[in-house]
Amino acid sequence: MQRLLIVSMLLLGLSACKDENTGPSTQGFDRGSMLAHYADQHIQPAFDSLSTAAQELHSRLLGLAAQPSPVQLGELRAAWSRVYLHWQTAAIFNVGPAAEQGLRKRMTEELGTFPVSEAKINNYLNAGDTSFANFDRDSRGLFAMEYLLFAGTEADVLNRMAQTPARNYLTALSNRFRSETNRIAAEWRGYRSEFVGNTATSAGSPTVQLYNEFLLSYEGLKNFKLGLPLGLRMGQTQAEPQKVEALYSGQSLAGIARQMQALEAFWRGNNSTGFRAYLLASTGGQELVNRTEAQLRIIEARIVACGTGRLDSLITANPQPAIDLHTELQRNTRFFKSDMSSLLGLTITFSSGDGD
Amino acid sequence: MEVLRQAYRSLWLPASPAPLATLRIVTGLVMLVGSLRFWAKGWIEDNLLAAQMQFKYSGFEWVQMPPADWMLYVIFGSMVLASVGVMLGYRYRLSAWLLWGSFTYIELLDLTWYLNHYYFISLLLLLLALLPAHRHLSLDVKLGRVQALASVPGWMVALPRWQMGILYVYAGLAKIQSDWLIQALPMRLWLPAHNHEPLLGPLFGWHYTPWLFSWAGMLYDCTIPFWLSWKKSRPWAYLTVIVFHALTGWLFQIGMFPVVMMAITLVFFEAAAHENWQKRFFGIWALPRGTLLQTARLWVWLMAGYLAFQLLFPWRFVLYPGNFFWTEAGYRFGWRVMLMEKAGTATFYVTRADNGREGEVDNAEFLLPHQEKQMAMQPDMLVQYAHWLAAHYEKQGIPVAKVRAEVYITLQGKPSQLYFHPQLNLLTLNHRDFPAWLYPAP
Repeated sequence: MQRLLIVSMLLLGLSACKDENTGPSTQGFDRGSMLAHYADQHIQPAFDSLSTAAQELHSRLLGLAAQPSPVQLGELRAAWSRVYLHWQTAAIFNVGPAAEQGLRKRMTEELGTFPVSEAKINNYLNAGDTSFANFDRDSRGLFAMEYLLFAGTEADVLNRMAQTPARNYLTALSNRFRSETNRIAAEWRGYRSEFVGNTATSAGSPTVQLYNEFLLSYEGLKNFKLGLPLGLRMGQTQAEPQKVEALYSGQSLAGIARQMQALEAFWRGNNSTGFRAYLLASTGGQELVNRTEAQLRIIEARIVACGTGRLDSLITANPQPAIDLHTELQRNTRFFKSDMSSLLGLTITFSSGDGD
Repeated sequence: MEVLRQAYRSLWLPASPAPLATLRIVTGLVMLVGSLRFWAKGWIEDNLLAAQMQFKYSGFEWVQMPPADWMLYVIFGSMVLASVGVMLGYRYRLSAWLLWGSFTYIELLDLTWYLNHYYFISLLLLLLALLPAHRHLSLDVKLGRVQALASVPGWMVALPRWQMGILYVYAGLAKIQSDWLIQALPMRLWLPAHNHEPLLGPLFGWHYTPWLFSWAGMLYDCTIPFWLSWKKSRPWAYLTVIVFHALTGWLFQIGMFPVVMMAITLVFFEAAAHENWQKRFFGIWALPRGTLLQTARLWVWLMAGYLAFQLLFPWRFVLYPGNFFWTEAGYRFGWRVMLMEKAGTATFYVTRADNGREGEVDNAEFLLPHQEKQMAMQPDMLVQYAHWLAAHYEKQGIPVAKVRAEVYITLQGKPSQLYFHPQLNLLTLNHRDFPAWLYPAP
């Protein structure tokens, strides 16, 4: 009996004293290098490009304000379009300095709310209120700029730019966008070490935040960039093509394609690290990776099938390709959401709680 | 046999009330810390007030959120005060019932926050409210409000020990199955996520660690009440209680639970040990004296009935067909902890009765992330949510003909499977019924 007792106690206590025994080499996945990869190859470049493009947009805007001409306007619009594409990548990384903090919402909400309210924009513009000291996020950001730059004919826009209130408001919008993206890019440089150094997987850890933002962006793309204008959301009585992202420039499909590309590139990482490699390193990960990759190829094909025209026109004329894309995105949701979080032991909730 | 006979006889012999007093004090303390912690972390707002809907316990659908937000703070306030009352043994019966009532009320508010250890605390508080835990080392005694006891019947001290024993042994028995022991699931999924931890980190990346943890956990749960009951092994057993719960508390998000278990298991120590430390802390007056408590036979029968219920209720799952990880029929209230990694992705579609148009629901619009996570994998919650959605849209003037859901479930990290037919109208179902409408487990 005594011996049995000792053996049992030893077995029970084993988990506690195991650290003295370094044993065979460990084969755990190195989240530190994954985070470093994401910080250096994905996140920082994305914020840098966005910030640079925003700076260029602002300079061109000042140029147009000084000397309005159709050529200048064309260049200004091209600069906005470049910002729009860079935005698609940066917007999936609302982490660290781009995350919600106090009254400031996530970067995507602060700078990228759509659809914008033309009425609110015109109200603030006419009142000369460029303080942005309000919660009308649909009166500012990237798509408020787009409204002022693209709504109407070229002549309309040039005419608008000739008027002080609109010019001032647009300049203020651009300046805010420029300074905010610049702040995030700069602060990320300082935040990097904290981000890379914390390899925990608890709620609120960089890995979990990154994963949750990835999920939010993916579901946002499906639900808001497609589902909303298609009228697929509960409570909608019909398609609402005017609610596409980038309505005025008509570049919604290019934006969707670019963001999907960014999401996939993020999930993929490179051969040695990233969420794909992380999955491959876990029990049963190969099968999930295969399933996900097969579905991603279908999604890519569906994006191509939507063409390169305007999404709002597509929805009005023949929405089927867009509906099909939505359906295939939906089919992939579970791979990104429950299957992936289960395999990696990551939590989908944002705050910690009790558990058992 | 002689051991058993002796144990049986000791149930009727007078026993020192000191262990019960310790139990009362540590429980009050843990509840005080726990409720203040819940409050301080902002969980009253984030977990309860922020929710637009609550999922109900079968049979407790009548438990509602208080009509005004401030009342919830009043309830938490009384929980804090009652914890202090229980700890000090001040106006004990009132404090203990208030503590049990307020805590249980909060737990019953929303099924998505169900935890085995909350259920355990509710049971423990109920036992404490019934037992005379305040008639030794309490303010009530000191103030002359009640008469001190020199002894209580042995079964009164045994009761909380048995309750703990059931918890542990049932948690252990639930682990004797192939997923846990042979596949080392879900440990194999959970442990690698901790390979970054200092000191023990590399261990969690080691291939065999999940098996080590699974087997050690099973043996620990199945046998620890016995090691704690046997005088010779008790100090060592208590040491493993500390190590085991500290380890699991450090690895998994289980909040106060490890502290609760470390505190409550103290009740296993023999009366002399309790009297000793009580004397050290509170001086000579802490020694039991006064009258001998005799109890009516009725109480004994009631407590025997309670124990029989505790022994039988967790087995109700055998009455249901199918894999109970999949159906979760009879899964709750059975001390099944950490047994499975289960997750779901649930997309709901609502069909209007007027024009037949179907719309997709964005769950994030109505549910907290935690609620969505729990709802998406548990049949009774899926049904409740469908009914809630219908009522919600009806209230907005949208007549609803059908609510269906496409739900994919992944169990133990295996590829996700469709949970049930995606065209099934969930409005035709009742959340109390056995979910016979699920597809068979993969």
